[in-house]
Amino acid sequence: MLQFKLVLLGDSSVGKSSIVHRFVKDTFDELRESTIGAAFLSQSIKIKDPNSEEDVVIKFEIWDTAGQERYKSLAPMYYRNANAALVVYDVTEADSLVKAQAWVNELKQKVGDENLVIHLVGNKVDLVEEEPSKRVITVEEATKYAADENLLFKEVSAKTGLNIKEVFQTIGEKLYEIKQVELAKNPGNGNGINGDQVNINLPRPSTNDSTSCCS
Amino acid sequence: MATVSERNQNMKAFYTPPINTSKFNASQALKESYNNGDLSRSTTPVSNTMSEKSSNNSGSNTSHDAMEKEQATLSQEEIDNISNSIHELPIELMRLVDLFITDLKQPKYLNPLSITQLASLFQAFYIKFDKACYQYLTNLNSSHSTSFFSAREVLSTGLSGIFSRSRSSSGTNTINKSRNRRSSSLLSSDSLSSAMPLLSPEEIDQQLKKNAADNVKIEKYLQLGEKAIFKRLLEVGTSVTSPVKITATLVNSNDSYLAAKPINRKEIFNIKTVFRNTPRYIEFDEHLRGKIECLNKLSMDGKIDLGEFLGVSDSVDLNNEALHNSIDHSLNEMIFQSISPYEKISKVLEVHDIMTVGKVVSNDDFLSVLIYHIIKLKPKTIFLNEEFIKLFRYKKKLVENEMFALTNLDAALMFIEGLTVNDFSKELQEELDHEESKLFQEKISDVILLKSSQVKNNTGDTEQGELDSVGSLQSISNQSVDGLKTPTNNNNTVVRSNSYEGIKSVFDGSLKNIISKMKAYTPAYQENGEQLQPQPQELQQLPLSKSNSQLFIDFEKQPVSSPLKLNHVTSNNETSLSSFPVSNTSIPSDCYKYKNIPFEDMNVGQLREMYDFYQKLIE
Repeated sequence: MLQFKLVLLGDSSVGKSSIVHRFVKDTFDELRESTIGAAFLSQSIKIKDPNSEEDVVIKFEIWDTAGQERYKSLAPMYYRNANAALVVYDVTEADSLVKAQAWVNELKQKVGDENLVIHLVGNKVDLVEEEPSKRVITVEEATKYAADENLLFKEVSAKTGLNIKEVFQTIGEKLYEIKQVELAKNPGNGNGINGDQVNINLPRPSTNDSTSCCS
Repeated sequence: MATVSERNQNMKAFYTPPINTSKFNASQALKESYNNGDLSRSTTPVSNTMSEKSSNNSGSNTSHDAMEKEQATLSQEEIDNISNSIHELPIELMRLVDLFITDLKQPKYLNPLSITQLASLFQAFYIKFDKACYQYLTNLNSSHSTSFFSAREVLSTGLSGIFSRSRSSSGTNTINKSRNRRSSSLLSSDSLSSAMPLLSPEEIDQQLKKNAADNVKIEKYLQLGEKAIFKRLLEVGTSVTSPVKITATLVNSNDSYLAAKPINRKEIFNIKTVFRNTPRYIEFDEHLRGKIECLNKLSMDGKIDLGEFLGVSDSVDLNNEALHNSIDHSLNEMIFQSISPYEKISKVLEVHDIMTVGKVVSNDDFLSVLIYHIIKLKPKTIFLNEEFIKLFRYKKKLVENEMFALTNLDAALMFIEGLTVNDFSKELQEELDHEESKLFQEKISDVILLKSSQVKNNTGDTEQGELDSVGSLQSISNQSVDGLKTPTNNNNTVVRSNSYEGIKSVFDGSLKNIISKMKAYTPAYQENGEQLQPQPQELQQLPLSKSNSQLFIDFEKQPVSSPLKLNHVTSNNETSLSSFPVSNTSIPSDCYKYKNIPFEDMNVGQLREMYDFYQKLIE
C-alpha cells in the first residue's frame, strides 16, 4: 500500500469538502476504511499497475483547508509535504477560477516540487446541466489553462458524483507513476526516507544471513 | 527488493534432514518442500499481500501503514482488550526510562539545553524505546522457542556459536511460537522429530494476528513510556522540569472547573518549566495570550462580532452551550491534567471529535470555529502546550489525524498571533485604546523569532536541521539499543565479539571513577534565580549500575560530534546563537570556561574539547 497526502485548495464556497465527502461516501462500501464526518479523511482506492496488471492500493490522507481569504496565509502549514493538490473552482463563479489560479501559482512557487501532482477541478456542473446559463467558466477556457500550466483537469459534480472517483483515480495513477520513476532512480530509497524507519512488522529472520548454511 | 527475495527464500525453505536419521529420504524432503512451497503460495494470499505491501511501501509511514493494515486482522474489541490489559510498563522498559532520566540529569552539557536540543534527545530516546519494546516482546514470545534474535546472538559468538547453532534455526524463525526449539546440539535426540514443515495458512494467519497484537502492545508501551518519562521528571525534578508550584494565577481562571471536579494537583504539570531554558517561547505565549484576552474583551464589549470577523458561516451555531462546555473541558484537561504529549494530543483530538460529531464539517467552518472557541475560552499556555506536543510527541506517531489536529490548532494560534490592527475594520481601529492598539501593532512572530514560526513561513529548512540532529543522535541511540539489549538477555554470558561489549567494559572501568563523582556533582547553573538541585536520594533509587554508565558512554562515545550537532540545530537560528556559544571556533572566550571546574568533574566531552583547544593553541 502506498500512502499519499492530498491537500484541498480553493475558495470557501466552491465545494471542496463536498467533493471529498462524495468520494469517501462512494468508495465507502468497497474498501470500508473511512471516517465520515471528521475533518480529517483518509480513503483508499485500488489502481492497476500498468505493467504487471496487479492491483495496487493507494491510500489518500486528505487535508482540507479553510478557503476564506483571511486564512490564506495559513495554507502552507497544510500543504507542506503534500504529494497532490486538488485545486477546486466553481463553474458558476467567475472569481473562483481566478482564486484557483492564484493557488496554482502559489503551489508552484512555494512548494517547488516537480513531483507535486496538481489537479484542477471545476465543481457544480450539475447546476449548469439544469440551467446552462449559469455557467460562467467554459470548459475550453479551463482546459486551456490546465494545459498551459501542465495540470490535470476535469469538471465534476459533488452532488451527482460525476467524475469524482475518476479524479482521484487519475491522481492515484499519476502518483504511482511518479513513485515508480522515483524508485527506478533511487532504488535504495524505496523502503523509507529516513534510515530510522525499520519495518518491524515482519519479524522474519532473513534467510540470506551470511552465516546461515541453508540459504 | 529485500523483502521479495526474503519471501522467495521463505517459500523455498527445505526440510532439514536430521543428521542422525538413517531413514530420512532426501528426495522426498525436496519434493515435500516444493509442494509445500507451491501450496503456501497459492493458499496464503495474506502472506503475499503482506510482502507486497512492505516491498511497495515507501515514505515515512512505512511501519505505520503496515501496522494499520495488520491491525485490520484484529477486531477493535481485541485491540481494546490488549490495550486495556496493559496498565504499566514492564520493569525492563521502565528501566530504560530511568536510565534516560538519569542520563538527562548528568551535567554533561556545556550549557542548559535549548528546547529543540532537549526535544531531539527525547526523539532519539523514543526511537530507541520503540525498538526496545519490540525487542522486549520478541524475547518474551520466544523464551521457549527459537527466536531470530537469540539465534543471531548464538551465531555471532564465534566458535561456540558454530558448535551450538542449530542448522535450521534460520528457517524456523518466529513464525510459530508453539513449535519446539530445535536442539542446539547436532546429535541431540530431539532433532529426530524436528523435520520442519512449512507454515500452514492458519499458522501464518495466527502469526499475523500475533504481530498485530504486538504492535498494539508496542503502541501502548510507547504511550506509557512517554507518560512515565514526564511523570518521573516531575517526581525527581531536573534541570528540565521541576515540581510544580501551584500558584494562584494558575488556578485562577479555572476555579469553577476545578471546583466541579477536584483534581490531583500533584499531577498538574507546569509546562513553562520545560521551556524555561528557551524563554522566547514563554514570551511568545504571553504575547499571544495578551492578544487572545484582548480579542475576548473586544467581543464581550460588543466591539467586534467574532463570528463575522472570523468568517464563520451562518449555518454554524456559535452559541451552543453544551459544545462550548465540552471543548472547555477537553482543553482544560489537556492543559491541567495531562502530562505526556500523547495525553495532550489525545485531548486535541477529542476537541476535534466534539466539534465534528454527527455532521460533515469542512475546514472552512472548522478552523474558524476553533479560533472562535479559543478566543472565547482563552485557555492558558495553549501555545506552549501546542509546541510541547509538536516537540515531544514521538514523531513517528505524530502523523495522519494527530498531525492534522495539531496543524489545525497550530494554524488557529498562528492566525491570532498574526493579527494586526490592519486586519480590523476602520471603525474598530478607531475604538481601540492605546494599550490595545499597541498589542496589535505587529505580528508576534515578527518580534519574537521562534524556530517553529520560521518553519511555518519557509518550508521547513530549520526543521530539517532539527531532523538532522535527531538523525545524528539516532546513530548513537542505535548503539544504545545494542547495549541495552544485554540486560534482557541475561542467559547470554558469552562476550560477543561483534559488539562493543569489550570496549564498554574498559570504558566502564576507567570512567566509573569519574562518573561516580559526577553523580555527586551539583550543577552550577542558575536558572531564574533558582538553584537547580539534583536529588541524590532519588538518584540513588535509580539503577545506576553498570548499564547506566553504559548508556552514558553511548552518548559520550562521540564526544566531539554530539555537541557539534547540537550546535548545528541552533546555528540556523540567529537568536539562539548568543545563548549557545559555538565552542570550537572561538577559542579566546571559550578557553576560560573550564577555569573553575576541577579536573575530576570534567566529562570526556569536555576533556576532548580541552584537547582541541590545546591543539589549536599549538597551531
